[in-house]
Amino acid sequence: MSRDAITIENDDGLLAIAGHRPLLFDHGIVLIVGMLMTIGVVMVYSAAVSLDQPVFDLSNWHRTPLRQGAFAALGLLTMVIVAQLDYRTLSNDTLTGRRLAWLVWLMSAVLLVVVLIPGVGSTQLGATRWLRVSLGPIDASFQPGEFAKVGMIIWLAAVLTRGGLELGTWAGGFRSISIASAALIGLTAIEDYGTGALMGVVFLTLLWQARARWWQVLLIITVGAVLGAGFIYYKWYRVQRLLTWFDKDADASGAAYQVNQALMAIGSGGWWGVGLGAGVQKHGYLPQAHNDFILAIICEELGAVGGMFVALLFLMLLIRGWWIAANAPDALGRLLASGLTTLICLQAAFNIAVVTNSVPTKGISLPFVSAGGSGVLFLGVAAGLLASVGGAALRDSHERWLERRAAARD
Amino acid sequence: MDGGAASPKSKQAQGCLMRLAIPFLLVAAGLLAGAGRLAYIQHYEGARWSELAKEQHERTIPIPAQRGSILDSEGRTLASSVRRRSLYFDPTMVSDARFAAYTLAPLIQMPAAELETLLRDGQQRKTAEGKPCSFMWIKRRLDDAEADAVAGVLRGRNMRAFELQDEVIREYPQGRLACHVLGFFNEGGGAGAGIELQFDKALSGTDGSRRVIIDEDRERLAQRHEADVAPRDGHSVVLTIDSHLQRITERNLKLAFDEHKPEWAVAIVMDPKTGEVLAMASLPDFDPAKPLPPTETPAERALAELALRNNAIGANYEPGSIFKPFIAAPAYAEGTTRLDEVYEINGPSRLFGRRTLNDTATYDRLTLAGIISQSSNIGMALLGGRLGGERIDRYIRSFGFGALTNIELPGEENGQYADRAKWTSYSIQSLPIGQEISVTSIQLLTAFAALANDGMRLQPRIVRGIVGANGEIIEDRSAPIERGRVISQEAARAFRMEALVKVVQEGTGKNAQIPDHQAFGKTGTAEIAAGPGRGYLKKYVGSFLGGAPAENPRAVAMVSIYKPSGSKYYGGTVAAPAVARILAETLQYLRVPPDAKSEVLPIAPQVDGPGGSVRP
Repeated sequence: MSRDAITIENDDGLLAIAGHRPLLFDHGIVLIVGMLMTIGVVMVYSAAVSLDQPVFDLSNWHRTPLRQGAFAALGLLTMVIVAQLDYRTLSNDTLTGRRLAWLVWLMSAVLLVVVLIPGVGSTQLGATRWLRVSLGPIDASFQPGEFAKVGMIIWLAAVLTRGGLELGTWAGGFRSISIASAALIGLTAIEDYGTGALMGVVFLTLLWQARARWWQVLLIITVGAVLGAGFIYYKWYRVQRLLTWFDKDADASGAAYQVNQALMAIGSGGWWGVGLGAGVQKHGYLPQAHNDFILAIICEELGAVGGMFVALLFLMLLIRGWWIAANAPDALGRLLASGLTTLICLQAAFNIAVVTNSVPTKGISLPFVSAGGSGVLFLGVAAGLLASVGGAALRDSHERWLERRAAARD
Repeated sequence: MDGGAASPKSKQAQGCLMRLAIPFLLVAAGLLAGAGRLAYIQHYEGARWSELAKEQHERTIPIPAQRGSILDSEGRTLASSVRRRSLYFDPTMVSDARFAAYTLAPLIQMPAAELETLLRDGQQRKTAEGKPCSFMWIKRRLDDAEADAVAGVLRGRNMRAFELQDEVIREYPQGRLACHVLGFFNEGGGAGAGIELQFDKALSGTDGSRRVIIDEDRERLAQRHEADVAPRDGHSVVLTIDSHLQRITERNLKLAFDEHKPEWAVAIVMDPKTGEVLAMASLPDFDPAKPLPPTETPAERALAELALRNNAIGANYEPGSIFKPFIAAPAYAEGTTRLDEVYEINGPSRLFGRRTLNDTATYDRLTLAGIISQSSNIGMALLGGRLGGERIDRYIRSFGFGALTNIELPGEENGQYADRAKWTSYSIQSLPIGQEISVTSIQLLTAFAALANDGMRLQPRIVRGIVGANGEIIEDRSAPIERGRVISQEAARAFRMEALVKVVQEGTGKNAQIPDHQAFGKTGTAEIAAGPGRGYLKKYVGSFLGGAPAENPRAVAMVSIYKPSGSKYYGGTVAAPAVARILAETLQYLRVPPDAKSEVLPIAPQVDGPGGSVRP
């Protein structure tokens, strides 16, 4: 498998566009994520524009809807840079990889703890999950949960593929890995139940991919369900959200207000939408229009067809991620790809379910599309890693194809 | 994936793929379910949610139609609606009261310090719920120059708290003139009385509307032009009233009113040939712009409400002697008597059944014309007996008494006139002298106009037509409406020329003589009944019906002075002079050429005599 072989075969091979160099990352992922981010920038701009605010003020970009464009550009750049890196650096079989993985875990844990310290975390919309960061003119709020959910996957994929790990037994690694994961998930769930639940599901997926036993999976599900129920009970407003969901017509102006407004947005958009920028629901009717409920605005302005197109993009991302995981050259790549794909697409499915009133309201954003700097940035890292694994998978798959062709010629 | 099969580690890869498939398929199912749910909502619930959204996004804002005007017969404006802008502010939004006050004050002719105080007071003010007050008027109904200047300033950044609002107000440019005919109207309160009420529908027009889209703070975002409904401005009503004649009438009535201080007084001028009311005045009057000013005591309030009544059509009273022509003329027309037939009066009193009728003077013998001109009760009672109940009843009805005249004004009374079956044994003598019946002034003048119009009764009319906002004729009401011939042309003419002219020439109505024209008329002085069967009050209503020129009457007029508080109360004294002045000025205004000299009979020397009295 020399590089010369690829160069020779490029006349009719997969990699013609790459010339003599092998593909470094998966273009499909970057393309899909780029489209989602573009839709996000346009729709956040549309949703956040109001009559009081200047519509297009470049000199004031960091305080207008334009900042989403800057964050998206930064996220895209991050994604492309990360995609160039070799994910195998994270392998736990080297000392560097081991240190890197645990550094990521530690950073996640520290940030999650720091945000809980009174006076450090800032409260928005009733939840203390933001760390305020001032970078020159940009006054950004940063959610440790956004970091932790990506960080946990990186760390988990690394430790689960460590050589000599006996996952099937308590002491062989299951216990320590579960405790370390539970710490991250628990710390996230304190302030951000939705993200915590999402991380729980991703943790389960990775365990499953790492050939955990059935009893282990069932144990995790049981413990997770009990703890989750406890959490819901602990925070009354979550009960409120559940009640809202079960009693839809109870109070249009109260707890059900947000969901009803989202449905009105979807309804008034019809199949083809009222046109970009022409939506009315964003003018004070739909809270969080540019954020968690951006999909409702997409549906209003671009129609149910527009909304379904967004869902389709995530489905494409899922299929591409599936392909990458299936063709990853090693277990680390497979776990990374499946974990990150699950994270992104499950979050999207979750968000769509919330906006369409299919599950109780959760503060969970639509990946790449919803407004928010840290979300776009860390999801950019996630997508970049996925693309990086994809690059390796492509190379691997191409080599196998060449082998088969060579065998056929002989 | 095809790669797996060829891989050397294919068995392990197979297991990996199995493990991979489950979560991926679950997430894919989740995404597909989400997309499907979107489609489901759109298909099955879309219309309902869209309807709810529309409900909260769209508002219908009325575009008020401009109310039509009321014009006099010459097209002069008596009432019209004008748009004025009023300045208000939201105290919660005032940031710099001093700056705002000194910017605005000079533009609206207000001392800056006073305005600043007003702004600061507004900031302190609380609503009933204890919230800060967010609306206060600064100055209402700015004139256009002021409003334009203010509008220019309000575009400035610091003036967001201030806004102009359109207000439509009803203006009565002639003040109190013809107030009872016009009635009144105020935005919000609606129409009250008069033409404003009677023709409210035609005047109002139809409001238009526009659909606007609003945001959650009720701020307007956009407008759905396709849903606009243009307003249709109201029609204008053209009256038969001539504001100049109205002014003449009101001035002369006011003179009589001030001199005799009655409870109320009425004057009406009519064109006998068309039935058009040229002027109609009632005192006390009111200001149509402020029909009910704030009053302190209930008594003042009651007085103010009383002033709203149009006594020309809304006040009933027993007519007394002024009613006599409406029995005497038919008696003559029927041929039961001649104008020169001599009646043995043998006054001053005579017994009819068990009831004694008195004359105010002693007459031995009077012709029919004399009975009218001297207003002899005994003579009329004799005549009533001669005419008979059946014919008396028929002619009273035929002159229009006991029924509405159908003049286009609200609140008309039809008087009280009993069916013949309910007549008393005295009715045949009482009705000829104007008792046992009550009438309105407009009924009396309508009946009198029939005599002036050679026996043909016309319906009194006060509206000549209705014109649209662009001047197009909506309804032409200028044609006279005949309500039937009461007596023959010859009889009416002869009775007018012989009997009614004699009243003015040498009878009770000598005060009604006017220069250049031969007037005719009839006096009436009726004691006011306290109530059914409760006797009389020693209070009187003095009235006079007059017209000129006798040969070819161009105008008839009536004045009634109800309960004069001075010592004078005879119709010939309190009402006739006013009628004379009104007729003289009216004929002058109408440019009626003076009578030929031979026709004007010499004015008889003034004899100090009582007017027609009907005291039983």
